[in-house]
Amino acid sequence: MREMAGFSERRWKSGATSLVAIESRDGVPTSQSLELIATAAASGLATHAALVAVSLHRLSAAGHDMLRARGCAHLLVPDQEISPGMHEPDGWTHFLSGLLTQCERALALLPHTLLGSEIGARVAFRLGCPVVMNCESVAFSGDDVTVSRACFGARLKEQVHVNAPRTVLTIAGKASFPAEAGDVRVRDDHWIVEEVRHGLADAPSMIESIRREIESESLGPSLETANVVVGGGRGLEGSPGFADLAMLAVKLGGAPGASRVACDLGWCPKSWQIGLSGRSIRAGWYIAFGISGASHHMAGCARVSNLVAVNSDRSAEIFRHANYGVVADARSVLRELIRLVEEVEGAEQ
Amino acid sequence: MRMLPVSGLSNVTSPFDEQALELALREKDRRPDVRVTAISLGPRSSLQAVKRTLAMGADDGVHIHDANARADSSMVAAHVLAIAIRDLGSVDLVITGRQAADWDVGIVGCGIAELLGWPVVCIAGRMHAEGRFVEVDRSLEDGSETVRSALPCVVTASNEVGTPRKASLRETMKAGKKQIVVREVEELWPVDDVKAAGLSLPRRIGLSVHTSNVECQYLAEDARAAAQALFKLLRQEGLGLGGNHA
Repeated sequence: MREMAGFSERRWKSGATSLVAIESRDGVPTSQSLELIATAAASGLATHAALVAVSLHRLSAAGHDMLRARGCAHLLVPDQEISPGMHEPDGWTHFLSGLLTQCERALALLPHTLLGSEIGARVAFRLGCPVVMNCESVAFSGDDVTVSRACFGARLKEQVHVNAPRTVLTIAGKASFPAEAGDVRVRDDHWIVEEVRHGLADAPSMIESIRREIESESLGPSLETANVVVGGGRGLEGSPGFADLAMLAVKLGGAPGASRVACDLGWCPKSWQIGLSGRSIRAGWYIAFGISGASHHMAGCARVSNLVAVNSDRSAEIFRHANYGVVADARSVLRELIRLVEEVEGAEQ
Repeated sequence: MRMLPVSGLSNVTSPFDEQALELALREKDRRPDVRVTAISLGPRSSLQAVKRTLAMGADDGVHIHDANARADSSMVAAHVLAIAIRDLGSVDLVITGRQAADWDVGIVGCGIAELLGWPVVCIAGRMHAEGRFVEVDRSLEDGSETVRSALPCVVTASNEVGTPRKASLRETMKAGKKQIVVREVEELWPVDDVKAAGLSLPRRIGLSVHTSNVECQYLAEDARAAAQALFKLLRQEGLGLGGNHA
C-alpha cells in the first residue's frame, strides 16, 4: 500500500497532473467516463501533464483494459472498499480533494453528470480553486486553460479563461479537445494500478444512503449519454402513449424523454423531463412525438444533431428547429413505427 | 468582461429556485413551527423576486443588494450567501435550486455547503425533516436514492419537486406585513476580500449567440407513410434497427 504523499513525490513532484474521474457501474467505466479519458489522452493535454485516472470503486479487469485501450496508463483507487451505505459524492469529494492537494499543479477533469458536477463543485470550494462546469471545448497553453461552455439554455456560448495551480473542469459529453494523432493504447508493462489512502474514516459522512433503486430503463443509456432519444409530449395523450414511447426507445437502443407538461400530468417519470428545468440531451437523433417545442423544452435539446418532429399541428414551434418533420397524429406514427421495427425483428428471428 | 444589466428588464425567478421554495413550503405546510426565509442576491429588481416568495408563503426575506454585479461569479455568490446565512443564525436547512436558468453553472448550493462545512444533498425531489435529520429522495442518472442527512444541511432542488404553488390571495394580503431585510453586498463581502480570500476566479472572456439555420424537411403526412419514411431514414443511419439492437 502506498501513501498519497509517496506517489506525489515520486511521480508528479515537479510536473503537471491531470486527474480524470472515472464513474463506473459493476466495475466497468461509464461510457461518458471512457469518452472523457479517450478525448483527454488523445489531446495535447497528455503531453502537457501526466494523465491519471481516478476511481472511487475498484474496476474489473475489463474496466482496466478499457482505460488502457484509450491511452490511460495509470489508475488510482482507494486502499479501502467503500461501504454500501456511504453517500457516494461524499466519498468522491474527500478522495479527489486529497489527491489534488498532493499535486503541485493539477487539472481535475470530471464527466458533467449529476455525480460529476456535484463532486467538481464541492472539490473546488473545498480547495478554493476555480471550477468551470459543462465545458464543451478545452484548449491548453502552459497553465492557461480556455474553455467554451453553453449557457442561457444553450442559446449562448461563453468563453472562460482560467490560470491557477489547481483547476476543476466538468466536461460535457462529446466535448472537443485539441487532437493529436497516434496510437494511444498503453502497453501491458506501462499499466499501473495504484492503491492510495482514502482516509474517509478520518472524516465520516453526515449522510447515509438508505435506499438506492436503479430503474429498469437504465439497462439502456441515460438521457445525457444516449445517441437516440425518443421524447413525448401532450400529443401522446396519456400514459399508454408513453408506454409505447418507452418500448420504441428500448428497440432503438436509446432513452425515453418527455416535455415538462407530460411529466407534470404524471404520464411518465419526472426524471424523463428534458428542458430548462429538466435534463439536457446531446443525442445524435432526437425523435419528438407530440411536443410543441416551447422554448424551455428546446433549451434542453439545443445540442441535438438531428431533430425529428412529429406533431399534428403544422404551425408548432418545434418544426422551426427540426431537421425532419412529420405533420400527423403522434400516437399513430409512433404505433406504426413500432410495428415496422417489430416486423424487422420478427423477420430476423 | 463584465455583464451590464439591461435597463427596463426585470429579472425573473429561476424555475429551480421556485422548486426550492416549494420544497421549503411543503415542510411548513406539514409543520407550522417551520419558518421559511427567502434570500436573493442581485440587483434592485431581485427585491421583487423576494416579495413574490412572501406572496407564495415564505415568512420573511433577505435581499442582498448587488448594484454593481460584484457577485457576477457563482463562486463569489456562494461566498456572499454563505456569510449571509451564517449571519441569520440558527438555520437548519438551506434549500437552493440545482442551477440557475441563465448561466447554468450549478455550483452555488454545493459551494454554500462546503463553505459552511455542512453536508449537501443534491437533486432533491422530496424532503422530510424530523428531529435533527432530513430524509431526501434524490434523482440519479440511472434511478433514484433516498438518503438521510444530519441537520444542518444544504439541499438542492430539481424538477422532480413538481410544479411550484402560485401566490395565493391570502398570502399576498399578508405579504405586505412581512419583513424584508436589505443588505449591501459590499457589507458582507468587502472589495478587498476577493483577493484576501485567495480566490482565483474563472474569467469570462467572450460571449456569443449560438445560431442554427435548420430547414425542416417534411416527410409524408399520412401516419403510415410517414412512419415508413422515418423508419427508412433511421435504418439508413443504422440506429439499432435491423438486428443491431443495443
